[in-house]
Amino acid sequence: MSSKRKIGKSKTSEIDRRSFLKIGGAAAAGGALSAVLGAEILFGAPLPAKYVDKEVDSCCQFCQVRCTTRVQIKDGRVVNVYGNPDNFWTGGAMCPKGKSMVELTYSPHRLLYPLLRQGNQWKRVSYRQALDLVAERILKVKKDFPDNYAHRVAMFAPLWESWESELAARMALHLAGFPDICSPGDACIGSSSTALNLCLGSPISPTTLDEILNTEILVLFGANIAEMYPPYVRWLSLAREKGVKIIYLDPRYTPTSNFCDLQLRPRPGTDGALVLGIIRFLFDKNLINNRIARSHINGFDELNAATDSYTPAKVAEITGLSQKELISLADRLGKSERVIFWLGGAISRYTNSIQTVRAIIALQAITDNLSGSGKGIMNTQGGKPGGGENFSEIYRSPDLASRLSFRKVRYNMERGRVNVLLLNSSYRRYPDANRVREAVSKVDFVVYRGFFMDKEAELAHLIIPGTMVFESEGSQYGAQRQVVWRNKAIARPGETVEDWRFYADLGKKICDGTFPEFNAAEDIYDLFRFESPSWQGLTLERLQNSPTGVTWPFPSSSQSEVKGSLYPDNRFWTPDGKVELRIPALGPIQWTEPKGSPRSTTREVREFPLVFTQGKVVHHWQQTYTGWSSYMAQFSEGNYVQVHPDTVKGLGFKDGDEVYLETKLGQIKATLKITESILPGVVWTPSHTTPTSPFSGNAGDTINTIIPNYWDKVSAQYNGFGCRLIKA
Amino acid sequence: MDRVKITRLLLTSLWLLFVLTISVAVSAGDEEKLTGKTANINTADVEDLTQVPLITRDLAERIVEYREEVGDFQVLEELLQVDGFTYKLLERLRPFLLLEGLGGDDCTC
Repeated sequence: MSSKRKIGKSKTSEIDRRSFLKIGGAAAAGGALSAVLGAEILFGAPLPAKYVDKEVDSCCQFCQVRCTTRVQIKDGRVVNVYGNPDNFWTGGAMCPKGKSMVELTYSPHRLLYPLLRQGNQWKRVSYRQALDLVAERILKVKKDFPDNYAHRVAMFAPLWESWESELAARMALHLAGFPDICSPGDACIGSSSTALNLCLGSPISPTTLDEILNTEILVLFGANIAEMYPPYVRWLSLAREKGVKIIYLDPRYTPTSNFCDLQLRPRPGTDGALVLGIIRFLFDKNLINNRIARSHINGFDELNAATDSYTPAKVAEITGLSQKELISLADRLGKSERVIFWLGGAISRYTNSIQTVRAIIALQAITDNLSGSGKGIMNTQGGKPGGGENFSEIYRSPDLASRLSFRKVRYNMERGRVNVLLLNSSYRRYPDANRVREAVSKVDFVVYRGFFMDKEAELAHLIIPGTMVFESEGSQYGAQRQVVWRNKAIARPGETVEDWRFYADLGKKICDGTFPEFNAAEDIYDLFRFESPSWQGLTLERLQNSPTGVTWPFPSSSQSEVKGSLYPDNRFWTPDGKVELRIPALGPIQWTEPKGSPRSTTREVREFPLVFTQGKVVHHWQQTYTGWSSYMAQFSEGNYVQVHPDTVKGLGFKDGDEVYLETKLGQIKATLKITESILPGVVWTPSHTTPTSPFSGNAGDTINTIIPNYWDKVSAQYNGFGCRLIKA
Repeated sequence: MDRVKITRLLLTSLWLLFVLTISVAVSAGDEEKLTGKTANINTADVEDLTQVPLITRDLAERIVEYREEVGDFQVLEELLQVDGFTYKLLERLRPFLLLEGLGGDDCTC
């Protein structure tokens, strides 16, 4: 494989693959080390031995690529982090986010001690005092509401820095009788994982990345891999070299456009119609695997009936693609022996998403592409292993009430029915973020487990700062179902504390003596593994000795880990082993316009004629602490909006103008970027801006303050509704 | 205490016990046997819900409003989150309430 060959012509800029990865790595690694040692360094590579006392194996805590890393330490300080070259999935690559942790660990803005609010001031308290305060408030809730305390304490759960932290937090709350832990899935790929669980019996990705080398066609469905998960780019190149054809479905031209053989650009929010149209074509042309379809699918006949109206003409009108493009795509997919669909997060960000993913599953099912090598579906954040049901059943209060999801917790907060909120994550991840903020402000006691003076700190009564990735040990999982182990590299500063330790300490105080004794993260891991048959082979020794992590499931009956298809023999984890397309709660399989779409007919949405879309950039991870990195700020531009020239033709806008991006909820100020990489009539804006960041490139208004409160049955919608631009 | 007084005390206690028993029986009989239609609380509209005994139009509207605001009910006990839906009402209506919906517990993040 040639690493310096330009692959196709970029639609965005002339940029070869190595450069793309280098530029991001340079800023964090080079700058940090220069600050420490004043020496030139090799970007993205280990430091020479003379600059290093020791190296510790670790992993990145941002996305589910879960890059394993090596942390280089000199005089007790981290001086560099680089990707583990022996990692099977990444080959040693890392993206700039993981590298920014070197700077963030030593940021002068970082909070290192617990702080108790006293009016408009903060008073430093000890960790023990802070812990006692939290326990006292929770126990008071149980005393004041002896018969209905269950929903009066809640948590906004983060993407946990370790599996042990998640387990300890769940144990502490569940053993104490509090079920309401709001998972990130509401604001992420909850729709997709729910559809997979309903249809196949497990929410996780049905196959792993290495299988794309064994497929014929890889469909990147809104999966902007090159920008969002750049360490995976080498797999795209390897696949193409093996003859795999990559079809990219995305309304925007992105860096991933460089790595495909064909890109189609359906209108945002019309993915489900596209898939149903493909299914209709396959039925009409008899390109279904009838033997498999009739014996392995519940709801096959209903699917045929439900897709009856999705003719090429209708689907072309909905998606904006030509009938020729649609038919060509459907024909290629129907005649291929092996197809893998790789779903991006955007697929889950519409109110029609759960039906879209249900349709994708149906398509793969009727073409016998769900089971076996070179076949299946992958989610970009879809690797969280299962098998923890035993553990959850054991470590909970016997009469634990049913969990309320985020919207229900918000409903209770708004009515003053929540007394303690463990704010372990940003409230700004939810749509209509100002409404969420107002709800949180009605909670009696808010405990923020953050790192910086974010907007969340403004709502907190008590801040107990957490440790960062180099300061703790624990296991974490990744998108390939791998479980990796992270070793502690340096001492934790000030009175910061790991999440697992905080929740273990809290659990001992609020759980009436039922909380187990833990002295280390390994204790929690071992206890969990003991209770989980499918984790038996995932011993600490294996994890700690693996540069890649070890793949789940790994029951004791197995001799080795098994990557690839979760369903190797067309038996799924549903009650009868078949693909279940009949989901009464969803009704028939169908496509509908996303809520608030400008293509709807109500007057309100006609006032907002442009389609709002948003997404991540490679340098930032949601609304979290990359916003506090000066190095990431060099590559960031605050709030901006991308529009096609035709969108603003004749309106007097020019590139670089300041505009207001307005929805029915409000407006934010942004810089206009005119580009042909986006479709006419569509607006795209980045999602990561941090209002309190001291670095202007990272700072900006939170876009979720203008994203309306639209949900499907499962998760929130961030794309597809109406907006407009006004000159500032 | 002499024998007469003991007898009187005994008779009074028996009388009180009798009266109490009758009172409980009358109360139990006051709760009429309910008749009406069943409803899936996750798909029923206001009209459907008012066909369920003891659910008034106001309460039906609040149930639908709650569901559309926050998503499907996961267990019948969640009806207690709706203003005006009491535990006693829930116990009486259990035979009439069906539950089929989506939870969205499946986060793989």
